[in-house]
Amino acid sequence: MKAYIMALACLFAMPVLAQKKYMINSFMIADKVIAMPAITDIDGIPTPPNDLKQVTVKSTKNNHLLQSQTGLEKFLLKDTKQLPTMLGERDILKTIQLLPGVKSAGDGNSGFYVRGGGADQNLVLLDDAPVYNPAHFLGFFSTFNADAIKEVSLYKGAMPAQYGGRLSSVLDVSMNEGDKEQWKVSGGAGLIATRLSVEGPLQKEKSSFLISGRRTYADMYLKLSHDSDIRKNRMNFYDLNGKFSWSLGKKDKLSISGYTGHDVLNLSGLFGLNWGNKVGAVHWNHTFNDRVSVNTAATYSNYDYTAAVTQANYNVSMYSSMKDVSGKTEVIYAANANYKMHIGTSATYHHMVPGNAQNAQKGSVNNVQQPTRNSLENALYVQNEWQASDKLLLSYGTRVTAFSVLGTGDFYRVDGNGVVTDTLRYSPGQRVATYINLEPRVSASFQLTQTAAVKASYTRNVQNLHLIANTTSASPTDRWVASTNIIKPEIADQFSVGYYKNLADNQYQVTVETYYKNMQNQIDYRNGADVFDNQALESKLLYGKGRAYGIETLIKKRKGKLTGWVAYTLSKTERKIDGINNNQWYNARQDRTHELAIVAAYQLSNRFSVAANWVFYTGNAVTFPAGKYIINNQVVYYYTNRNSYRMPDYHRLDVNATVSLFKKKKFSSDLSVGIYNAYGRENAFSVFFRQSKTQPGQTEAVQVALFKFVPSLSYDFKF
Amino acid sequence: MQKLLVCLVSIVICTFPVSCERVVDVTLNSSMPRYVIEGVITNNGVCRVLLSTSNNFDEDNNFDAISGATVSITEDQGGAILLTERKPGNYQSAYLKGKTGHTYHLLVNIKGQQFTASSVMPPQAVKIDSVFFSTEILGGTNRRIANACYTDPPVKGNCYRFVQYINEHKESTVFVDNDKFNNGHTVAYPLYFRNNDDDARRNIISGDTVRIEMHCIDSTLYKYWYSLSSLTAAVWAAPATPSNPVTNITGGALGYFSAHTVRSIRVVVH
Repeated sequence: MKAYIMALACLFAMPVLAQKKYMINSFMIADKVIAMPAITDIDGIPTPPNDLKQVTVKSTKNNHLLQSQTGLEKFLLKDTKQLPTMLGERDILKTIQLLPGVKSAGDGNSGFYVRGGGADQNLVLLDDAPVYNPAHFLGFFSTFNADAIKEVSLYKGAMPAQYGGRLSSVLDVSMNEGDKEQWKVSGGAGLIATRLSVEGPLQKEKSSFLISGRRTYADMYLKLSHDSDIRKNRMNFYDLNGKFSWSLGKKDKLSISGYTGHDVLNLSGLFGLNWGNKVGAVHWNHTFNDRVSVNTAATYSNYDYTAAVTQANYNVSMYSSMKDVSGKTEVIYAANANYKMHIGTSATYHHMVPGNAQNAQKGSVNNVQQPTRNSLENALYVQNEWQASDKLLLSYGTRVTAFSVLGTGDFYRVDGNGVVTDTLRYSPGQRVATYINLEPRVSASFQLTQTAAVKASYTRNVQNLHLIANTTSASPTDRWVASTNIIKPEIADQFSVGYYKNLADNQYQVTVETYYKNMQNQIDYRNGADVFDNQALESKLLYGKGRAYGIETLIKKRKGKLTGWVAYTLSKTERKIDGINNNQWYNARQDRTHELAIVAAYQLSNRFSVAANWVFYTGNAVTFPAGKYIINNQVVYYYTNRNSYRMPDYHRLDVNATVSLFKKKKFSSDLSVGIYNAYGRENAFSVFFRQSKTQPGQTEAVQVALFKFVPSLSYDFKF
Repeated sequence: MQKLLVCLVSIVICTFPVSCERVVDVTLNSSMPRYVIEGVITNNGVCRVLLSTSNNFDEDNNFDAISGATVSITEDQGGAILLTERKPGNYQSAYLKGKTGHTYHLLVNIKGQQFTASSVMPPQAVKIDSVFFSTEILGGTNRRIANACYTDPPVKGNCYRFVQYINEHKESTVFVDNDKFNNGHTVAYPLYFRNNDDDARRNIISGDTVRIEMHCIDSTLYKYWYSLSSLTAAVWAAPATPSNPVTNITGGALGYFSAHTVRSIRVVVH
């Protein structure tokens, strides 16, 4: 707690205290006034009282009553340590899927859906740099090595104006900073991966570093196979995080952080898939005085994907990539304890290669160079936070974005049937279109009593990068595209109201939030679009609108031997796109009526703890046949309405036990054992239809489940 | 490009050897019976239109033929040729022979409902020059695959469909290709199929006689066959939202009308 107050005190930028380190010998909490005899500095010399201004320090830790934001979930990674894992890999993307309003995209998929939005409508940031595909192993694991992550904030709407570019949510992940005082080594091994982190001072109390790596050895299991072809397969991934931080004098802080990760899947040396992210960020924080400070950052993000076939008579690869270079600066002005303002600007250059087929040797394939796409995204924002009274906290601001689509490249005009009518050729840097959007937002929280509050918010978000995907799982045909002269920016307006209550001396938190979201310029494929025939993607797309609404409840127990939460969401999300389902509203794929997550951890003793989570949700909206007919002497299925059926309900129990093997100041180690999907429910990954083998002339539905039980084991150490 | 999709699917299948399949009960809505039209005119004398109706999912696979319809085909600006019903729902003409480069118009009248379609027979009847067999790893098992070698004409926009027969047993997989990635080249097109019902007749072994038909089709038919083939793709590559194939028939019927060339090659597997 003390450290927390210290940290907060620094954050609140006290002029004198920022100059020197102080020991706070006592403090006041809430309404208990404790006289503070004197504050001494770190050397024990009492501070003259007039050097000290009155500082109001608000602990926001776990006190969601004091935030104006609706739909914000914040947690420290160390608080998720006991939760069950998949094969021993702690995963923040899996943890947030247990929160209300956040839906998992399903087994074998790291995507998530927030309040009815699509998987591409989440902005995932690692130290402010966007991560375009935070998935390993076709989605079984996320790219966030838990050892390198400090804190995660998830905004399910009502994000402050500092954030922009996606409709549904912002997942702001911050990396750990190295310890400035002493060296530390931690690490561990799970069933499929091993991890190691090293941190320490570069110059004591002034600068530090942290390097954290993870590598799978899933290939080893393949080597155990009797089949020589399987033994030749390769599948692995690695993550490497690094962060360097410096305190430059009394007023400046500088940090450089980076991440690189890569997946390789290779089948007998004949087929290969590999993809990876590289992100980097430089942050500089300068404090002018007790009221004004400036944060400046430069970030870089690169995601690329290659699918390749290498055979004697056929050798082709398909490559796509997404590159961002971005700079931003922000001035924070704290007029007094009740008013704070952020003013900032940012510029991002996007460079996309949408999918190039390349022929590595003389063969039968022409190189198909898709036009690269370049765009410039500029933003200006103002965000204010104003404690209007003891009870009323207001947060309001706006963001103005200007998205310019630039040449080189061909752009098209398309008629109503998706036929290209004109091709417009642009030279390098030539402006194709500019979309300027105003994105206002306002949130208010009103404290009803010491333990209860209501909040309301309205936010408009705009998205100019779109992921066009047509398969149930990640595939090379999923492509990021920027807005063009035809593809318009997606726009969402979200209204949200919530009630928040703390019970039993803040041991329990209860949250009820409702939301309504209206979406414009939503994109979907035309029926039967050939996704590989990618000359003019615009000719394969349809546009329309969407709406999503729901109610989210969360009951959280934060203290005691038993901790955890129950999250229940009742929601609806629909689309209406001209050319689909006779232009009627239809369920979005991720529309799931009910979603329930129960998460519990129990500390049996100092050494033993157990944890479990149980999830239940209504199956996705899917399209099943309504009939069948004969074509080409084959039975073909006949479809009527899109997404008018349901997959079977999904439910799963995961359990985990952690034992502390060794706990000394210098060295500690833990062992975790668990089972994912403990009662072996065969949850449907997909349902397909075929002619029955046992009853000729009949047709049957077949459900495919990916796995039943998945054991997990992990050993972690720290010294 | 099909190779890339196959590669993706294979990788995924091999990556998750633990997936489990079982037959489940799914209650499906019933649908109004729909008319199905399958019209073909080729350069080697086939001129045939099949008319049937769709069934509900839980019914058997006996599809009612539609008798008594009026079916005619018109070549470019010529006069309409009436087709005769030879068998129930099977309408043919012995006089009409398709010619490359010509456009054909189909008119079907079923109980007063009109359906129309047009199709262009491509100007060149491209043929398969040779066939070789390769062993491929598909879904974790080794299987022999026929590769059809042909030379794509220099003009852009050619579309093809292949039909494979093993000892005259027709392979159900839809094979389509176009020259998007290999215009003007000599192409070896691999005829990948998933033997998802473990039917031994579908596998290629030494001594088998393999016959492959190559059809040159127009781009609207490519769209039809491509969208039909994606419906039967593997679970992993299946479209998230399946829909009926993109038909060239107006008036609300299922199916297609195709004017195409046919060239065959027959080889014995060694």
